[in-house]
Amino acid sequence: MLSEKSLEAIAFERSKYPPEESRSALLAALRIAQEEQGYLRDELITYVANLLDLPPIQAFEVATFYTMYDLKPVGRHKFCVCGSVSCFLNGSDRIIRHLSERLGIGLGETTEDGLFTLQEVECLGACKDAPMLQLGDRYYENLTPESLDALIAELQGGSTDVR
Amino acid sequence: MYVNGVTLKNRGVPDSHRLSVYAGTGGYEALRKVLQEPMAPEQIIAEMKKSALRGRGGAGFPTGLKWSFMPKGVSGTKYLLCNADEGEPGTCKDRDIMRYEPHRLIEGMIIGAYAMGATAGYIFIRGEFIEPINIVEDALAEAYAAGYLGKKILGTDFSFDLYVYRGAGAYICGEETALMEALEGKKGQPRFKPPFPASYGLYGRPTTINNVETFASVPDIITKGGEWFLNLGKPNNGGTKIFSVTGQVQKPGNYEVPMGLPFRDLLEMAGGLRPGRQLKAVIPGGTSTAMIAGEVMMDVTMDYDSISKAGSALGAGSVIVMDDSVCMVRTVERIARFYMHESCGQCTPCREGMGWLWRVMHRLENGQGREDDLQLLLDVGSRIEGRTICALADGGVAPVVSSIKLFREEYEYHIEHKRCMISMGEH
Amino acid sequence: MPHIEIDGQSIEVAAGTTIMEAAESLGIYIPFFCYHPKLSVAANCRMCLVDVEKAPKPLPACATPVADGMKIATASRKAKMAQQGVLEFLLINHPLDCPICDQGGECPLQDITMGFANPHSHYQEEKRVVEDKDIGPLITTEMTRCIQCTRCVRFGQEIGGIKELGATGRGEHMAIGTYVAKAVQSELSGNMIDLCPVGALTSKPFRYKARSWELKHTPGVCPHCSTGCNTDVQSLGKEVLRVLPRHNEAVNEQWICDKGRYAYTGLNAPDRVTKPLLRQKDGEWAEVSWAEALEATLAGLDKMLARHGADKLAGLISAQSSNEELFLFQGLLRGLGSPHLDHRLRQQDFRADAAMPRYPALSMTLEELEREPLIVLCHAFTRHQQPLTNHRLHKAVLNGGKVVSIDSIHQDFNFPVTQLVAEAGADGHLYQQLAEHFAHLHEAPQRDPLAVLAQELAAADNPLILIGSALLHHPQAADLLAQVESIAELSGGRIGWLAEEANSAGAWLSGCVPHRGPGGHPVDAAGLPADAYWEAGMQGFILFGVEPGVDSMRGAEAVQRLANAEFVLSISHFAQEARQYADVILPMAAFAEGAGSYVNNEGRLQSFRAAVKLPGEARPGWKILRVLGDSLKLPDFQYNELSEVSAAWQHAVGDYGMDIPPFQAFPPLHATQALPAGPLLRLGDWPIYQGDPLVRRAAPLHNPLRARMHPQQAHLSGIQGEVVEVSTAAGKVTLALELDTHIPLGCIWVPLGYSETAVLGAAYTPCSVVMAALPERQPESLRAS
Ligand SMILES: Cc1cc2nc3c(=O)[nH]c(=O)nc-3n(C[C@H](O)[C@H](O)[C@H](O)COP(=O)(O)O)c2cc1C
Ligand code: SF4
Ligand code: FES
Repeated sequence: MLSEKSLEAIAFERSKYPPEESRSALLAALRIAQEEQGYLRDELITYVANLLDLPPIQAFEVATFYTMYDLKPVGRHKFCVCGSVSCFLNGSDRIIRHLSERLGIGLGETTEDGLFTLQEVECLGACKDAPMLQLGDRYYENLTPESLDALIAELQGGSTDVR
Repeated sequence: MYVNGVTLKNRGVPDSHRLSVYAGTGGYEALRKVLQEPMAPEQIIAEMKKSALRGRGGAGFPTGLKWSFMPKGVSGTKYLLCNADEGEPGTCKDRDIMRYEPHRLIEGMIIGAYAMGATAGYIFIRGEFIEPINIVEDALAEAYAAGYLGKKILGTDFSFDLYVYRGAGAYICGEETALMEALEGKKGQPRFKPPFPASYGLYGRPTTINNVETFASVPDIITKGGEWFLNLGKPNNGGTKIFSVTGQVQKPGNYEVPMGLPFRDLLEMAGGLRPGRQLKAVIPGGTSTAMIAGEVMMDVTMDYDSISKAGSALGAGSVIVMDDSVCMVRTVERIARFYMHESCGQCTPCREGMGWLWRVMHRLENGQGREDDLQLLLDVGSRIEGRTICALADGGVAPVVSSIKLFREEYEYHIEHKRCMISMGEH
Repeated sequence: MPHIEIDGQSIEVAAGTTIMEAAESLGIYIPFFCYHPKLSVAANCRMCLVDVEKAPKPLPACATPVADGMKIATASRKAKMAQQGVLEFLLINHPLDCPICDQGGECPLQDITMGFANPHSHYQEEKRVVEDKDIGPLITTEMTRCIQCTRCVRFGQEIGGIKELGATGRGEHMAIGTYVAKAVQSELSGNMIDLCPVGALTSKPFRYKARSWELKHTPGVCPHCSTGCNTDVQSLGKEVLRVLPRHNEAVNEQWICDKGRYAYTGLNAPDRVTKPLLRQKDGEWAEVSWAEALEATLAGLDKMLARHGADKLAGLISAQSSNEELFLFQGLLRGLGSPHLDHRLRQQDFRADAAMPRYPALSMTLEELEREPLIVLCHAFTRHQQPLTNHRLHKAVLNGGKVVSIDSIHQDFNFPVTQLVAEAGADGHLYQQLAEHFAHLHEAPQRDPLAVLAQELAAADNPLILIGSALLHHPQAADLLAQVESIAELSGGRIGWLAEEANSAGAWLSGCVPHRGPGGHPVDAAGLPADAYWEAGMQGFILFGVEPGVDSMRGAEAVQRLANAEFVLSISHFAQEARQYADVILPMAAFAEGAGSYVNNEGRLQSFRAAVKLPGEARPGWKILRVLGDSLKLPDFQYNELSEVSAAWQHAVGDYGMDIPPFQAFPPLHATQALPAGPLLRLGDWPIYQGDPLVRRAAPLHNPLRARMHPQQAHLSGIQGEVVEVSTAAGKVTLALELDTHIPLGCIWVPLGYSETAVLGAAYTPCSVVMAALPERQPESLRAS
C-alpha cells in the first residue's frame, strides 16, 4: 500500500526508538503515509498500524487526535491561516475573507478543481510575523491581500516550489 | 539597550545555524570544558543553580534544581527531552532559536545529558515547524559528524544520542507529560502526577525535560559561570530572556533582554504603539496568563517576580500588546476558542468547561448576551480552576476571568447593546 | 506506615495506599466515576476531588497516594464545591433521559446526582449529540450518554487483552467507539456494560425488558465452564432477564464471560420442552401427562431389559448436571444392573482411565494461578474454554510469568503466549520430542523452541503443566497423557487439569464414569466408556441433558445408533435432537430453574438455587431421577428434599480435597494405531459458543460456521473460492471457508458441535477437500448458518 521509499522512511523512524517501542514511530508513520497518499483513508490507517504491529484502534485514536492528519481528501494546496490572538490582532480575519473571496470557498472547503483548500488553524508559533499562514512546508508571513494574490497566481501557474 | 544576547547571540550572522559559524564564535567550548577539564556533574548542577536560570517553557521552575532531581546510580536508560512544541498563542521564540542557533540548543542538551547521566534524548518539535525541523536535523548531523554526539563523545566514555521527534498538531503536547505520551506514539494526554518525570518519564524511565530557550542558555552559563548569568538579570531571575512582543506594536519581534527590564523599554524596542493609540492591556506571558491593564503594565519590570506581583505570570515571555482599538469581548472570544480546540478531553471540567466558556463568549460577542452571563463565566471559571490534571484548563480560564475583571463595562455594554463598544471594523 | 486522618477518623495504612482506598477501608464514601479497583487509575473524571490540608487545590482521591500526617476532608465546603462543580460539568452534555434509559435505577450518575448535585444547572447552550455505533449483538450503545470515563477502554486493554475500543477525537469531540464499527469480539465484552457508570453501554438482549428495581436477584453458579463463576441471576416473573457476575474474589473476582452472561437467551428456544412427550405408534409425537410418560418409560425399560439384559443398557449424562443429579443417575443405572454410564461424550481414547485422578483438579486455587512463573498449556485454549481461568493466566503474565501453549493449531490468545504447534496430526511426536530434549539439556544454547522450553522447564522451580480438554479429545489421548506425565517428572513440575465442563469434577466424584463409583472408588466390574456404546450394540439408553448428535465426536453415527436402539429415554430441556431417536422425552428444569451444587475446577463445592419457576410441566432433574428410581423399586431413592440427596452425595463422596495426585499409576499402554493417512487431516474441536445445549441456542452469541485452512494449504489444494466440500470416510459436507494462518499445513479445521458437521465424524481423521461450486441457495444463508 505504501512505496518502498515510504517504508524505508518509516523503518528509519522506528530505528530512533528502543526496539520494543515501535509505537513511538506511529505519528511519523501516519505522516509519511499521508504525505505519499494525500490523506489517511481507514484502510491506510489500518495498514500503518499493522506495519507497526499495533491494534488499528490505536492508530485511529492518534489520527483523530492530532490536527495535522487529514482524514478526508484535501486540495493540492492547503492554506492553513492562523486565527489565534496575535494574528487576529493583526487582521487574520481579513486574510481569511480575502482568500475565501478569491478562491470562492468557505473554511474547510476545497475548490472544485481540487487545487486549494482553505482552513483556519490555531497558533502556528510565528506570532511576531502576523498575520501568517502555512502552506505545505512553508510559512508565509506578514500577509497582505497583495501578497496573497501573488501567491495564488504563482500556485495557479503550477509552481511546484511550494509543497 | 539590547546588550547581552545569550540564546540568540548569533542571530543576524549569515549562516548562524551552521556548525562552522557557531564553532567560530566559541561554540562547543562549554562542552569541551565540561568533558575535558573535566567538570563533575555535580559541579555543573551547582553552576546551574547559581545562575538562577528558570525554565523558559512557562512555569519558571529553577533549572538547576530540576536537574538535581534526576536519580543517580539507577541502571538503564535515562532520557533528556527538549520541549520545542511552542504552541501557546503569542509565543514564537523557540522557533527562532532553532532557526538561528540550533547548535546552542544541542550543546546545552549534551551538557545536560552529561550532568544527569542521560544517554538518549529527543527534541520534540511541533510538526508544523518544518523549516526549524530541517535545520535542527542538519545541525544534529553536523554534531554527530564532529563527534559531539554519539558514542564516546570527544574521546571520553560519555555517549549520548539525540534525535528529532516531530509532533502532529496539538498544543497540549507542550505539557511535559503529554509530550511524553505523544513521544510514545499515543494521544497527547497529560499524565496524572505523581509520579513525576524524574522517576517515571518517557517509557517509564527517569526523564528530564526543558524548554529550547532553557537549554540554549546552558553553554554560556558553563563558559562564563553561573554568577555571570545571574548578574545579567536580577536575583532569583537570572540571565536574559527572549520576549516575543506581538500584537499591536510597530515592530513586533523577539527581543532578548536582561531580566528586569522595564516593560516601558521593551515596548519602545518593539517600535511602540501605532500612532495615536493608547495602551489598553497586555498579556505578559502568552494567552494562559492573566491580562494586565495598560497603565499598570507601564510600571512593571519584565521578570518573574515583578509580573507575578502585578497579578499575572511571565510564562514563556510572550507579550501580547493590545491598544485601544481592541474589542475585548471579541478578542477573548478568540482566545477561548483556542482552549476549547486544544483541550485534550480527559478531564471533565476542561472538556466540558472550555466549550461552555467559549459558547457563552460567542453568544456575548454575537449580541445574544444575557444579564447573568458575566457571573456565569466567573462561576464556570471557578469550577474549572485547580481541578484538572494539567494547567491547560487554568490557562483557558485566566484570560476570560481577568478580562472581565478589567473590562467589565465593555462586557456589560455588549450585553446591553448587543454589539461592540469598540468596533474593530474589518479586522 | 503512614498515619492519616480522614474526616476526623485516624487510620494507619500501607505506604502507597491511595486516599480512595484508605477512605473505603474506613467506610467513607467518596463519589467517583472513572475509578475502578480492577483497572488502572485514570483520574480523569475528577469526581473524587477531596480537600487535603495544606494542598492548595482539591486532589483526586483515586490517584493521590497518602502521605504521613495527611488530613483529608471528603465533605468539607471545598471538597463539596469541587464535587458539585464536576458533576455539573458531567451533566451539561448528558441527556436527561433517565426514564427511557436502561441504566435507570442502577446508574451511579443518577445516584450521585441525587446525592451531590447542585439542583440548578446553569447550562443553557446546545447539548452535544454523539453518533451511535453498532458494536454487535451483545451491547447497545447510546453514546450521547457517555461521560468519557474510559473504563470500558481500559477494561479492553487491561483485562480483555484486546484493544478494540478506543477514545477517538479530542476535547469535546472525544468519543468512545470501536474502530470502523467493528463488533467487539472479546469473550469478556459484556463486563464493559457493568463497568459503564451511565447508560452508554447496556445489554442488547436485555434492552427495554425491565427496570432494574423490578428484578429479583438469585445467587447462581455459571453452568458453562469449570471456573464456576458466581452469578447474580435476575428475573422477572417466570423469565430470566439478565445474568450478571456476583462478586467473589476467589473465583471470578467481579467478571463473567459472555457465554455465562448471555447463554440464558437460549432458554426460550423453540424446541424447549415443557410437557412430557411420547412417541406414538405412527412415529408422531404427542404431549402426554407425567403419569402416562412414566408408565411408558417403565414399560419400555422393562421390555428392553427383558429382551436384551442390563448389559445392553447405557446411560449418558451431561457434566452440566448437578452433583445430586449425577449421583442419582449413576445410582439408577447401576441399580438397574448396568455398568455402562459415562459423561465423557467427546473422548475417543480411554486407555488411560485407570490412571486418571479422582477428579480433574486444577490442584491449586485460581488465585494461586496468578503467581505461577511458568505455565505450560497442553492442548488447552483457555481463552475460549475457561475464559476467567484464562484471565488468571493473563494476570500471571502481567506479573512477569510465562505461558507456553502446545497444541494442534495456533490459538488466538489475548495475552502473550509462546506457542508450539504440532505438524499435521503429529501431536504425540511434539510431546515426545519435548521429553527427549531433557536428555540434552546441557548442550550449547539451542534455538529450537522445544529445546528452549525443555531448558526453561528444567530450570524452573516446580513449573505448572495444565492439561486441557482438547488433549482428552485426541484419538491418542492416552499416549499424550503418558508423555505429559513424563515431562512433568523430568522437569520436576506439577500437573493440573483444566476440567472441561462446569461440573466435570462433580461427574467424576459422583461416579459417572464406567470404572469408578461415587468418591472415585473403583467398581467391581467396569462398564464401557461412552464412545464404545455405538459399536457395542446397546439397545437401551438413558440420556440426561445431552445431545449426542452434536456433543460426541461421531455425532451422525450416534444419532443413527440411537434411532436403531430399542428404547431411548431422553431427559432433556430441548427436544429437537431427541425427537430423532427417543421414545420418551421428559422435560427437565434448565439453567436457573433448578437447585443443586457443582464442584468447580479447583474442587470448590458451590451450590445454587432456582431463580425462576419451572416452565410448564418441566421438573427438576433430580426429582425425575428420584421418581424413576422409586418407581423402579430401586433402593436408596426415597428422598423428599434436595438437601437429603446432597447429604447422601456428601456421604458417598466423602472428603475429596482440593489437592489431589494428578495421576494414579499409569497402566502400560498398548500402542495405538498411527493416525490413518489421507490427503489432509481434519482437525476440530468445540467452539466457545457451541459447547452445550443452552449456549448453542443463544442467538446473540452465534458465530457463523466456517471451516478454516491455511492460505498456503488452500493454494496447494487448488482451492480458490470461499466454499469447500469436505469429505471423510463418514460423510461429506459443504462449508464456507475462511483462510487462516493459525491452521497448520496439511490440515483443515472443521468445528464440532454443529449438526451440519456431525456427518464428518471424529476429528483427527483423514479427509479430502475440494472447491465447491456455490450452491443454488444463495451463499449468504450458508454463511449465516
Ligand atoms: C498546556 C501546556 C502547554 C505547554 N506548552 C509548552 C510549550 O509549548 N513549550 C514549553 O517549553 N513548555 C510548555 N509547557 C510547560 C511544560 O509543561 C514544562 O513545564 C516545560 O517544558 C519545562 O521546561 P522548562 O523548565 O525549561 O521551562 C506547557 C505547559 C502546559 C500546561
Ligand atoms: S486539563 Fe484539559 S488539557 Fe489538561 S489534561 Fe485535563 S482535559 Fe487534558
Ligand atoms: S474517580 Fe478519581 S478522578 Fe475519576
